Amino acid sequence: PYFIYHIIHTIYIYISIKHLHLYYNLPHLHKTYPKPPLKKAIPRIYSTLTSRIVWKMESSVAYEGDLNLKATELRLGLPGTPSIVRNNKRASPDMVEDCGSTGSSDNKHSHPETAPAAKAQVVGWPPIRSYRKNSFQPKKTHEVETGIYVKVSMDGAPYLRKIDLKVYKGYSELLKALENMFKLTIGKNI
Amino acid sequence: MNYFPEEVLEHVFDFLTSDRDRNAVSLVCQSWYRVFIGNCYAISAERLIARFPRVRSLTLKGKPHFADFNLVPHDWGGFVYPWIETMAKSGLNLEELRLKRMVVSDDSLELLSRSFVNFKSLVLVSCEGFTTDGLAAIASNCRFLRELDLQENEVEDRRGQWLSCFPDSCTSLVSLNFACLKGEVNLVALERLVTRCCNLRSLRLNHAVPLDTLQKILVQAPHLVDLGIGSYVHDPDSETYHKLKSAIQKCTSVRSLSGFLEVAPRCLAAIYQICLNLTSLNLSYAAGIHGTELIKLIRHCGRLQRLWILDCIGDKGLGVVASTCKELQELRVFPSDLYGVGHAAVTEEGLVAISAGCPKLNSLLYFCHQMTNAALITVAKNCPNFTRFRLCTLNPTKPDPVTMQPLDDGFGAIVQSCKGLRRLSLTGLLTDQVFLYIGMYAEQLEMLSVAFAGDSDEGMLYVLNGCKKLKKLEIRDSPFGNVALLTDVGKYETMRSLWMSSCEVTLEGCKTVAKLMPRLNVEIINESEQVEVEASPDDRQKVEKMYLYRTLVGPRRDAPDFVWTL
Repeated sequence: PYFIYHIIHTIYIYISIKHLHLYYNLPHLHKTYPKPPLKKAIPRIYSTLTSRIVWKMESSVAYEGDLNLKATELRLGLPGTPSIVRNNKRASPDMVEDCGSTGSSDNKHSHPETAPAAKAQVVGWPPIRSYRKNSFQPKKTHEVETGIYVKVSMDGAPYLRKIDLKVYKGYSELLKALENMFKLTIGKNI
Repeated sequence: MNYFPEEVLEHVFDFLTSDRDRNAVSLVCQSWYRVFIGNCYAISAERLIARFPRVRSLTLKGKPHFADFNLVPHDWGGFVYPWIETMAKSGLNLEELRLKRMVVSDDSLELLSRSFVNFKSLVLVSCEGFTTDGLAAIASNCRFLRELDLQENEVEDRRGQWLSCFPDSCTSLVSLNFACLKGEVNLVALERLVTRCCNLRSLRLNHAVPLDTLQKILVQAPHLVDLGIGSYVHDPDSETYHKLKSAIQKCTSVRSLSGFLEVAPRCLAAIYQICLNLTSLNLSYAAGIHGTELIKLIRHCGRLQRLWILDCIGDKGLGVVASTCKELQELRVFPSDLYGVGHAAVTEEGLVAISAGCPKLNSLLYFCHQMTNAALITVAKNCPNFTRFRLCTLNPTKPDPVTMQPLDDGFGAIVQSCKGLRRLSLTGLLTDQVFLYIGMYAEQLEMLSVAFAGDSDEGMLYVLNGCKKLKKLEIRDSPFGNVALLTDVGKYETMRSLWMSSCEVTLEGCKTVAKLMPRLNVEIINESEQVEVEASPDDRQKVEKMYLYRTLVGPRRDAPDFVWTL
């Protein structure tokens, strides 16, 4: 009986994959770009999926729920989840966006686990070189110029660090900052 | 083969375009002298010299690509000093050094300048760690320097006089690019340098070089082929401006133009003359040129093959590009508004227009607010020649706004149509389906960048199984875990590197890879202050950042505390 169950599942996968593309409602895609014989795709997918089926069965998760729905599921995450929060499969980053009406529809399919958070920038997004990002901050550099900058070097560190003395309210704060910067502890606790 | 002169050998080897063939030949040909190392930790300097004792030109890349976007901590690695030190000690006749994403100290530059008598060319791209003092050393000591090319480096300005350090006897410069420097330069020294270097063909100035100096320089160097303008601000009614106009008219060789780091749009008329012959135009740092001025400029550039521009050009402007630049091969559209609310930017319409007007397009980097499947399918039909296709929707999980569907079919069309596609970056709402398409059709794919995409391990598996030529795979914030990572660990030895951050892989999974594949370095980057290095972390814990790469020399010895090589 297990064997038969397995066969049925296999056939089910075969059929599901073949028709997967139809969920996306763009039939003309197949006219202009004939799909290669499914044989090319199936062996690879089959082998990986069966191993996954076994694994999944061991943890007794319903297989139908996994492949079929997931592949067609429209997942629109909520904005505002910072990437540190890892309870969501895909942390939905938020970008300050001017999309008018489309912006509100993003919130329709909210993932139950995500709490709507305040808008936050995601690290490294958009993917632009930091040099380029820094080049477009002309206003900020004016503020920067009023600081008191000193360069701090530590024996053994590959290069100097620049710090703005105005930022620190006192000597102990400065020490802490230096400790963090060079990853060491300075003297006894003050 | 020893009795063939080098020029003949070079000519023969030029026909070898595949890395594999070149690799094979270099095993038996001792005089091989140009070496490319895509990952500086894949091999050591000692082994390089042993295999290529006559190396003259070395290209080294350090940090992983995602380091460009602040995903790799500052002191991760990629130091060039040990390489220079070893090459210096072995008496190598190094002439060219090209570095990308490496840490270059002033000491390295000093040592470099003193160790190699025939040193001719230094190209630094996206590097950091040096100051203008290091540049001064290069200028002072490299007597036959032909090329000093600094592209988008973070250079600390020491307010020295590095340009003045080029001795009067230096007349060999062919290419000088210091556009990325933030500080002042000695303008008189610059003018004198340009005057005495009659072979100068490429000159890119930084923002501190004003228009009147530019005018004097152009009078001295009318044979320039590549010009990067620093500051382009002046009164268009002034005598200086008219002098500039006549100087520019004599610069009939300019084919590549860039810069305009500061610009007064009314002065742009003077350069329309040059635009007619331009094949390459980079206005991606010219934030001062907007809308109508920009479009007016583009209308003169009928021969353009490469265009880098800001998205303030808008969809309409891209329409003008499409009707004007019929020879266009490479287009990059960068976002101009990173911190404020979006104003005029580009959408799928601009891209469709470009694809219709520029059928020779083969390389694209496009930052936009939205993209549709229909647009991508049209683009794929119009431009089947893409070798590099990088799309970035500013909201990385945005679906097709018209149909509210994922962008799977759009990208599927791209990979199906563009049989020569070597590099691909995806954004938008994407499911495992797009990876199925990539695995099936992207046979030449060498580099894939994935962010906030996919549903399950299947996605990553489709790619690993299907893309036989895959060299670099970088993934962030996607739900791929241990099953995907471990199904075919042998694959990673056929690739240069794999980066996975904010995914579902656990420490146990990474440890397993490391155990099974001794010729890979599996690095875990853990910046979290909560996890102490001494305490043994839980194997079921998810790994923040994993970077694995093949190597012949085992775990690196310069890894900082927060990098743990398994």
